[in-house]
Amino acid sequence: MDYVNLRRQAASLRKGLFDQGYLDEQFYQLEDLQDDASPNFVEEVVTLFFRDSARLMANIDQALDKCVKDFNKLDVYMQQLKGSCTSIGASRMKTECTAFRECCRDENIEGSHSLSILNLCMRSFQKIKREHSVLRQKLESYFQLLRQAGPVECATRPNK
Amino acid sequence: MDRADVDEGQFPAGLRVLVVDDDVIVLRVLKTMLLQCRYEVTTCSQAATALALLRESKDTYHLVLSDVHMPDMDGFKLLELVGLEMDLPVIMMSADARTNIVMKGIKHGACDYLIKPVRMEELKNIWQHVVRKKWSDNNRDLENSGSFEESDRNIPNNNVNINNNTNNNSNKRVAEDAEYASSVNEDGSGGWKSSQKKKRCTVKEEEEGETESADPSSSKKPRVVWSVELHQQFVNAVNQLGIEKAVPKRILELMNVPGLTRENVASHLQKFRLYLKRLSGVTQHHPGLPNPFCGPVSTNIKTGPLGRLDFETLVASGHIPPQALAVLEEELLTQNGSKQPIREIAFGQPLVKCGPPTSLTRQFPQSNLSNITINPSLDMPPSFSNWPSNNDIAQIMHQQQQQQQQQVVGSVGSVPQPNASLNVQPSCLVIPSSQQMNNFQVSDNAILASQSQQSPSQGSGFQTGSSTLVQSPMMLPSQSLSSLQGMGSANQNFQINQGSSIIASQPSISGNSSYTTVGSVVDYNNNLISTPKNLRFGVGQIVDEGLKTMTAASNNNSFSMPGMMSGMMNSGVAVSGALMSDNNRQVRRNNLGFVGKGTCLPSRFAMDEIESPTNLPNFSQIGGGDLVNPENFGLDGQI
Repeated sequence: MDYVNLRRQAASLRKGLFDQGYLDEQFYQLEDLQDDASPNFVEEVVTLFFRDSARLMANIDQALDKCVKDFNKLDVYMQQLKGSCTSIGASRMKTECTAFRECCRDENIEGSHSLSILNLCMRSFQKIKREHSVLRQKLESYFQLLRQAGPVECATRPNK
Repeated sequence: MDRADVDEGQFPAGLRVLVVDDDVIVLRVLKTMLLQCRYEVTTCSQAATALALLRESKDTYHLVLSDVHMPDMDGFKLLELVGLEMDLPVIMMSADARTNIVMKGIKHGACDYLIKPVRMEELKNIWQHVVRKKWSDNNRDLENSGSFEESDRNIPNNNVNINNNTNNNSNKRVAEDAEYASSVNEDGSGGWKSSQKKKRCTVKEEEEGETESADPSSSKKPRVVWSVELHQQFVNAVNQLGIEKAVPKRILELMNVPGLTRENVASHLQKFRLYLKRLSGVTQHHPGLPNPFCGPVSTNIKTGPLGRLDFETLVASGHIPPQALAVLEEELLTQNGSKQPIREIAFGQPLVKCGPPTSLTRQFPQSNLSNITINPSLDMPPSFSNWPSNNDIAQIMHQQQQQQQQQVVGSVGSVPQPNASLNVQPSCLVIPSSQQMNNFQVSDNAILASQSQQSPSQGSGFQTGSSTLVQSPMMLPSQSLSSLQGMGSANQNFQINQGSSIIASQPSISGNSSYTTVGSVVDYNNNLISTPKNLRFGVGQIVDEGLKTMTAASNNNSFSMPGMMSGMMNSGVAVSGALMSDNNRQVRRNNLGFVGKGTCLPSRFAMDEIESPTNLPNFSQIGGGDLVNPENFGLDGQI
């Protein structure tokens, strides 16, 4: 009933995430890994991801704010962030990260326009932040639904 | 998930995997995946930690999974180190799928390269690498045992069957040497020849004996696991003997470890030399190549030392001020020699400009780590107790390095430019400024190298002869011979040069001299002439050209240094050029063991000249320790 609804909602949210490209196949892998031994594995990993990525993004923010034209460093940060995205299947974020790195690379090639490149990077970074926040929101809702609907799935016995 | 498959036969279950990645998410995910594969997993986010864990006990892990891009150490460096020290299969991972990067991984010896995100299916198969490696190692051992004979037969002018009397062998050697030393002078080398011959004979005999006793037929050679302690013993033995004199047989005797065979030592020696070589600055000549050994020194490595760069030990023992260590490490980790050009050259730089031999010759009688000189370039006064004038040496080296650097580089490339740029200081083992290859390696070499001094058979032997050699690569062998012989303890002193083929061969090396500076120089003399067989260290591989001589030359003794030189030589030392290559090749084959262990260390350099280690048939295995014993993880059905 209630649980069923919740589960349905969770399922549709999840489907939406995939359909809209927020998540990709890697997320399936994570789900597959979840089992009795690690019942909340996916949620744990996702939590870990958001924590870690928030940290990375703060670093990037700082680097960009300083207008330091250390594009190599930015590239490194972004590589890390992208790696994390890849690990959980955060597909759209990953795309934005790639775009950001392209900006950095452009800079390296034509150093003369570093300022404009910096702007480009900043804008690209804004996109990343947006994706990050949207994804987080959606996944949080999703897990919340799952938690609420959880007992139903796990329960194999009738209500006591 | 094919858990069922995994269960079936319990085959790969229990495989112990070490995962290294700076991304905690990756670690978490991989850990879970691997656990589902029924493997045992250990994760760490820092390469240094991983190395420490591995060094603590080499038996602990069967396989290492490492990320390529890590903040504290380049994944490729870790890869090489693991291959060198522990000879474990390493699988690289990265989100970076660019072909050139993947290629780089392969070249550095990675068993596999996985693109992130890593899928479960891929992880399920990683056990194959462990098994494959183990078996191929065993096979190589077998081949290696027999390979000596083959290589001997292949040696030009040598139609001697190894199994025959040693005379034949020595003849062969001599003949080979003569080839190289043709210019040198036959007459003068008469004595040399004979001594060389004698030496060869001895060596040969030893080898043969060992080879035979190794029982190639036994397919199941237990693999020797080079634990930290064992490696330490090895290093000590090498130090004690001196780079040049470090023949497997002697090392084996000194180590006095039951169950350890000469082959084990030989292959490990080869690896070791390769390692040293890399430290010494192969990078100089191969700018594109990451300096694999840059990173042995990592502050976090508490376990210290495998004898490689026992910085920790040195620091601990007070020989190296902590700051220096930090500097070193930093340099090393920087990876590029760009900031420390000297470092790159490292070996190329003659330690001393034909200078104070005596002090240098002192070399380290004791192979203690303490003897190792930290790079003078680091401005750390090496406080080796045994070195008479560490500071002097250091300064000299420093200067030399600075100056030589360019030269060396140049000279190396140019192969035999007679004395051109050769600062060749007598085998001053140029300690790569920041890379202390191995403590004793470097210093020993340097000392020894530069000093052809007769320093009485210090153990390191190589100096004696080397110094002469170094000086003028072109030096006629006779000179070297005499110097060598003069050395008195000729027996001790670098055997390599005994007759010097080393020197003689030098001519081609001219370039070498400069870099060999250290003992290696000496070696290369030998290498040129001698016997590829002796080229134990993998260096030969790299150096193919010049180094081979070096290493090989030393009649099996030359060790380490040549390696270093090889690295340097690689760039161009065409020392022996063709001749050497040939020898080297052969030698390499024999000695490849170290390199070949799957780490493909030398491959980088040796790519063109030398067959990559993996190709070498003789990949002498370190041994038979059950590093990865199938039984260990259930191959035999038991875990």
